[in-house]
Amino acid sequence: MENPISYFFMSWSDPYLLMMTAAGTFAGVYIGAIPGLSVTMAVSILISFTFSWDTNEALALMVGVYMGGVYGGSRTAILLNIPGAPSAIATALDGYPLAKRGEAGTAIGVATVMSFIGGLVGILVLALAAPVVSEFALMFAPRDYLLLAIIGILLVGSLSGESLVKGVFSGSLGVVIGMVGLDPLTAEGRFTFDSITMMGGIHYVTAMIGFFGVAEALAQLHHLETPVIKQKLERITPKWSVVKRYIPLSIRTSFIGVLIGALPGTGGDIAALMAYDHAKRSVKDPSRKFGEGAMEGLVAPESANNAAVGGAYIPMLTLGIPGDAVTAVFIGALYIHGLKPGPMLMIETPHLFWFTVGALMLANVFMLIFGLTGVRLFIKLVECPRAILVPLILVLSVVGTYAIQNNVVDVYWMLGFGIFGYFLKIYGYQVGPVILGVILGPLMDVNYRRAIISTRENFGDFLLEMITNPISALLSAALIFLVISQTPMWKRRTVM
Amino acid sequence: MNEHKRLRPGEASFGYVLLIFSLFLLYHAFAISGFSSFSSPGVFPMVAASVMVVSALTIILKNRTAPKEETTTFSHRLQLFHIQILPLKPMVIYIAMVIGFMIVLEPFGFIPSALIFLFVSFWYLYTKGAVFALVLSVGSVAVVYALFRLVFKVVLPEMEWLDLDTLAWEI
Repeated sequence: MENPISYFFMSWSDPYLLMMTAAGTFAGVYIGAIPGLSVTMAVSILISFTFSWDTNEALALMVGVYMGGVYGGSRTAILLNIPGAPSAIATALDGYPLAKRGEAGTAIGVATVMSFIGGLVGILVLALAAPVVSEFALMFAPRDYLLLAIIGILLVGSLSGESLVKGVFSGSLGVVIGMVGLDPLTAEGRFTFDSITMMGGIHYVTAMIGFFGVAEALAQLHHLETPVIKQKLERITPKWSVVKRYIPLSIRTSFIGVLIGALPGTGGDIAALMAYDHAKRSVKDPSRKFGEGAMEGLVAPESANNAAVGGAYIPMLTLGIPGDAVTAVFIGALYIHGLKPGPMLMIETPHLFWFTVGALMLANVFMLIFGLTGVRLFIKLVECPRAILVPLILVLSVVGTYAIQNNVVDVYWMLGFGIFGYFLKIYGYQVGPVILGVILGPLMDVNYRRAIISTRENFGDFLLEMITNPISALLSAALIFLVISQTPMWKRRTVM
Repeated sequence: MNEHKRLRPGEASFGYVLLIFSLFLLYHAFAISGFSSFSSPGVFPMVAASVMVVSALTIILKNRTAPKEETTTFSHRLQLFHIQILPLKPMVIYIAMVIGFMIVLEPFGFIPSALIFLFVSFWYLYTKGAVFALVLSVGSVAVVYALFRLVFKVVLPEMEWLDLDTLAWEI
């Protein structure tokens, strides 16, 4: 039998896969850089086009888009003070002041190299930690998966939104959407309203494109008049002496990034903010004051957010629990290609894991190459007005949704989700938990029912197992803590 | 993370809409299998819908304690809603255009409907003239069609009343 680790080099040696990874990374860098386009949106739309593709080709492309997109967001954060992605929010704090000082080229160059280092650390940790976590996850019972899924949805809701209760609402809404159709165990209709069309359920890609693509496009209509800011950019490859100076900080913050990224529900945005905070507290003699163009304030978030990519893959591949909205979309992609992320993935298809690690590493290298080249093209693309982008996003969303099942009803659903998602966004409800709910809802339902059937439908025993089994007890405690920590009483106490 | 910030126009009403929607879903979740057993197909939908109801109620209660707008007349609030949340131009008009695009998608097919939609969109949103909008829309549809239909082999809606394949066969 062929050694699964040999799949690590597959994307490096196969010219077609090499090209796919390069194309994905290139697209990711530019998608991430264009304000109004997000990586989640791009991956959601892309998934629908890769239905008939070979799994490796689809993965190579999407891995590239993810890696490139996380980095790409930093460029507009530096040049325009508009983070292209949530993970680049912290980058803007010192990146934009650097650009205002006329050091945009150096800032982009340093951000690129530090993103590369961060990505490298994240991938190495993924390669080393995932097999261990997967082994441990084999001990998980259905109730533990139920608890993990609830924790994931709550974390995404509480950390990224205005309030926990809005996150909870969004997550539950997603669970209900995920339940539409025939029950997989009894074939009984759920929320079908006796319609044959509804019996097949609502495809999660339809919901993803609606909530991320259409809702975001509609929200962008508010910013049509925003003027395009032009920046001068010359040499961006940084000097080795500059890079060398920041390597220790980059490695330190990369570990913060990978750790935060590995927690279910926390992605690159939280990782970058925590790394920025770490740099602010630990760097005694910054190049300038933080917030006024300190290179350290750029190095820390850029290393951390790319390291978080490798980290986010750990719970996704080993537990089947997405770390954030982008990894939730990725889980959807894996399901489409007949793969089931979780502890069995490492046993049944270890080659897929090593292929993903190899493709991530390759995408990281391409990110460095594309990041340090093509400045002129980049400036042209970033200046693309929203009035052109919005209609194009909508057409691509329609094409992507129709491609799922060649059914125009999906397109109507997508538009419905898009308009509803627009109102959710505008009133401060995060749409990330909705997608997590859509994907995790059916899994939570099946795991809950397995768990309750294993106790012979005795609800008391079910609850007792939640606190007597060590893993379940730990997860239950984490869940309770998560809810309590969001109460006004707790928040007041911690402030005091 | 400020829980007591001022509400956006229409935010309080949106909370009530969510509550009604959640109650509707709870009713239908109960209709699946009632309380027949702990493992019945309706249990989890009922739990999810109940959580939605409780969350919506909590949101409504929180909204009631949030600082109110200085002007409380209904017409002024409606005006603010139209300016900040759902302006007629471009939001409502554009949403109507998108709905129109989706309605004509199947009977007209992808190429004509996308072409018209993009042309009208660019003309309306970008305001650089009809010729520019036409060139841009033709170029965009050509790229999208070539990339997705010819390279990715994605099936796109075709005209219902004009079967190109049959026509080609007859000729």
